[in-house]
Amino acid sequence: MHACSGQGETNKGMPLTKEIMINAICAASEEVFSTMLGVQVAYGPVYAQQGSVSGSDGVIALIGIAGSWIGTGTITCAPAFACRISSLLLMTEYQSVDNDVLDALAEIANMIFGNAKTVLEEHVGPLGLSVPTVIMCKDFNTKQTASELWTGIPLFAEGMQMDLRLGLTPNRGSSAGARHAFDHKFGVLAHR
Amino acid sequence: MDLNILIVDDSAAIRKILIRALAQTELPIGQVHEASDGLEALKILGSSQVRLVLSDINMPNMDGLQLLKQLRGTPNWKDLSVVMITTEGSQAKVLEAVELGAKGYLRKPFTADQIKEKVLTCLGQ
Repeated sequence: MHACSGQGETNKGMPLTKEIMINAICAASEEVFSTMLGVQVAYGPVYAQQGSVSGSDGVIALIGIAGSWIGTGTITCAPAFACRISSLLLMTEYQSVDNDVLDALAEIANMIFGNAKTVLEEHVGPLGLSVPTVIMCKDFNTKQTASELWTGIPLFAEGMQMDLRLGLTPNRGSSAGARHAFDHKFGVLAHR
Repeated sequence: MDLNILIVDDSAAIRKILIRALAQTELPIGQVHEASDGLEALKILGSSQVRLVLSDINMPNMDGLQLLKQLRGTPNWKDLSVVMITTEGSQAKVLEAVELGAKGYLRKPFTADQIKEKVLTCLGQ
């Protein structure tokens, strides 16, 4: 199992590994939380999750990634944590999830996966990022069609938890992606 | 003379944070206009006197780079100072923004001090 070292710097041009993905997300989230919220974070053990991601009650922000690799990044947390993050970000007290809170979570997801994307691009070439979608939901399942495998990172701050997840797979529709898919199939990338 | 600024970002949260950061700069800020994309920004620029634009890149309808192209192709706005503030940190996008005439580039996340420094540099102070 990989651990989150928070080291975003990697050797440019080397093949994309799970460790690079994890460290890119950790470095980005650490910077976003410390710079924009003034909060230090800690990480739990990184986990792999097959199939759909489910939750009982919470806020989920989703952001699409496309290029030679495709997939989705998500952040999920309880409404109380979403309100706390929004209060710190916007310097206004939020007691319940409203449009401001959803917008704040969208921007947190955008900054985390946007900065992680910049690191990933050093390994797989240009990637595009969609605008985020944020949903307040109960008893939900999230499934992405591009990749069945999610890499999850529990982030802890202010005594609460947020889960950062990324499901990313080579895009067989692009020439670079097809080459990555070949490597991926033979275990060159994902299991380093 | 008061410094009228236009903030272009599809995130209301970021617009709010930037307004607060600008208020902390102690610059003679005049009116701060807000737009959620490039198209809305052009409408505001058509009816307001703005000295500085702070713009995101990734936005729906018209993104920040398309906005920059429009500004550089319009005589009245070709010298308008534009700072890109975005998560988009890829070298290609930075170069494209600079080639299109962006006066500055700031990556999100940012601090109020970084905003102040960029604004002052842009205004030649």
